[in-house]
Amino acid sequence: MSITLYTTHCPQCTVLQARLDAHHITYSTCEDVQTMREMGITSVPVLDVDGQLLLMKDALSWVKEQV
Amino acid sequence: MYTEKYNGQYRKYVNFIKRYRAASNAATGSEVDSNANVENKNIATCSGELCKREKIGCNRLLMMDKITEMFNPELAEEYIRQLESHELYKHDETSIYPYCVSITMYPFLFSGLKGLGGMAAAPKNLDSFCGSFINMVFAVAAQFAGAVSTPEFLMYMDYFIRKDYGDDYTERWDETVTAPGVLRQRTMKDLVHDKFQQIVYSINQPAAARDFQSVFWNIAYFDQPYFHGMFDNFVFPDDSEPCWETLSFLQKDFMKWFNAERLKEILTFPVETVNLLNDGHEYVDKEWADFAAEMYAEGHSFFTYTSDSVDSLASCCRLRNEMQDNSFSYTLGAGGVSTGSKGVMTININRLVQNAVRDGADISERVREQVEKVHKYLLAYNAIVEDSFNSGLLGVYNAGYISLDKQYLTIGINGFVEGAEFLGIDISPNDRYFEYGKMILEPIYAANRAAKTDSIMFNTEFVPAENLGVKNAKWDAEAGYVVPRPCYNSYFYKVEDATCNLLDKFVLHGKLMTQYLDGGSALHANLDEHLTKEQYQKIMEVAVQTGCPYFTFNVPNTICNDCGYISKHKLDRCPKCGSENLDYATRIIGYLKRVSRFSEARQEEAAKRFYDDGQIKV
Repeated sequence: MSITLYTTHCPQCTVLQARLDAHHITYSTCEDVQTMREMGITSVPVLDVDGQLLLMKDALSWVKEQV
Repeated sequence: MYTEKYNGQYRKYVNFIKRYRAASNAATGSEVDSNANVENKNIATCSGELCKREKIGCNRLLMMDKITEMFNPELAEEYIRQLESHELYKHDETSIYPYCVSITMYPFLFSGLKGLGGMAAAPKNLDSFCGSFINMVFAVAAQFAGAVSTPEFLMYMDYFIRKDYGDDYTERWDETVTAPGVLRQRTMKDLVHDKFQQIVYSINQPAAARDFQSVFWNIAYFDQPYFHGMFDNFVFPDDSEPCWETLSFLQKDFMKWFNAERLKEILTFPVETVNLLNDGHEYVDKEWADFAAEMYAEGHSFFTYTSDSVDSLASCCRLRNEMQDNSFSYTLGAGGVSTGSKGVMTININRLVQNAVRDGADISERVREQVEKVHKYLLAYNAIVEDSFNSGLLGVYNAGYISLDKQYLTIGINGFVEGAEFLGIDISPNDRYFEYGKMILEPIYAANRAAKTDSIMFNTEFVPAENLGVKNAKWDAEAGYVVPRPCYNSYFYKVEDATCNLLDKFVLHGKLMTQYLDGGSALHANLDEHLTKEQYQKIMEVAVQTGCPYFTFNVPNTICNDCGYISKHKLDRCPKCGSENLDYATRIIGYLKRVSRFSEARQEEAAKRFYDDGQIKV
């Protein structure tokens, strides 16, 4: 499974990252805003799960499902 | 021997205390930072003022060291020369704090006050939210010289009301929600209004830790498109999302409550801003635009911000196009989340123009040269702020309420109108005045854009200049410059000009002038009486058509000094007790205060303001 967190380290990003860490989920991070814009991302955090881009609420739900 | 030593070192402080005791009010007693937000002249405010000159000296030495380190000693000398010759002004040099901030409260939801050095954990219910919110505002304000904005305040309050009383609380607004055994039975509405009262009165309390000044507190209201643009990816700690329907209700109710409460007390804060999106022709959310007009007609006084782009407001989490203009960030008001100014340095335009003419120099070129220097000064100031951050001194930043790269380094403008008058330009909507505006503002705008990096943003603001307007006029007059009035204007029009009508003012604060002002200006439309809702609707449409992004209407309120009666109209006699011992409340430069609390110089300026009847022009 390929998981990438798109983050600017804003407070919401920090919360999502903490949830991922708390559940011992392995992921990479991308902090490059230009890359995010090219992907059509307009706000962060976004979690890419095998190519599916999840906004904050869906990302948190997905993390919960992994428990 | 001791007498000589102590006289030499401390006599000036004793003399200051004597002058402060004799001053007519606190703002007048302040010799370096007169400010009507200091409501009381007392021992605490006297103490706060006592060593301000020493703090200015300390700040200047910090800057000289940093400019020398980053650039060269000659530029450090030039910085001080420019300050001492009043070509330039550094705002709030009497403190070592960053200037102003619009925070995200998200860390507060998860950590309470612990990140700010407090003990309270994350709020869990409405009661703990309200109590901790007050403490949070004071804690954040303790680390900034100027305004603290909490644009998310009502959205978070709505969340905690829904948590405690259900998502349908607005439908049970008039139902009793207290337990049967409680002696003081309260409806949902009573309960929420009690919370409004607790928060607003607490934050308006002059704070001992701020030299007996209350916090300069701003909040924002959002229409539906701005709400969605700002908060569509927002999630609360229980994974729920904000609710537009209940938030819209709560926003309206707070405005109504606050307007009514100001008949009981002249409550200065919060300074409110309604954010309304337009499509270039009209307001997108007509319900909220109509409500804003209704509130103006009911005598409420607040700012309206309007733009045709949701991206014009700063957001904590929204990614912005780097080619895009700066987001709105005015130091007096609230707009977006996670923005503000780290520091402000203001150019005295009247002096710059007169010096350029005297020297036969090109004015735009002189502006460019000045901006180049100001950018370097601001970069040095930014480095000082970063030093404080890296040393762990800026707890608000460390705790995630704001980040350094989200805030601007701001170039202020003052003496703009007076510089134009010196050149013989008529201060009205005419091509020559707009060309003058372009000549002054475009070079700054271009330089700001060119200097932007991932971590540094510059913007330009027509600063409110509450006391700077008076200071610059005084200093310039003493130095022999042409000074047409004792207080430089805070607007693009002359406040005393009876021939400049309401529509002219919107044109002057419209796109032709403000397109190069990437930090904003605030049109204060002074009216002698309130208009109808329909009239306000028409004027608000004018704001869209002229591209005037930020405005308010300002009608003096009357306060009876004998019986305490407050009216939202300007009266000559108290309708309740008949007394003619009256005071008036108006916006000194953005925030509502009794005129008697203004400095004496600002009282003179206030007395000259022209209040438009608004009738014929609308």
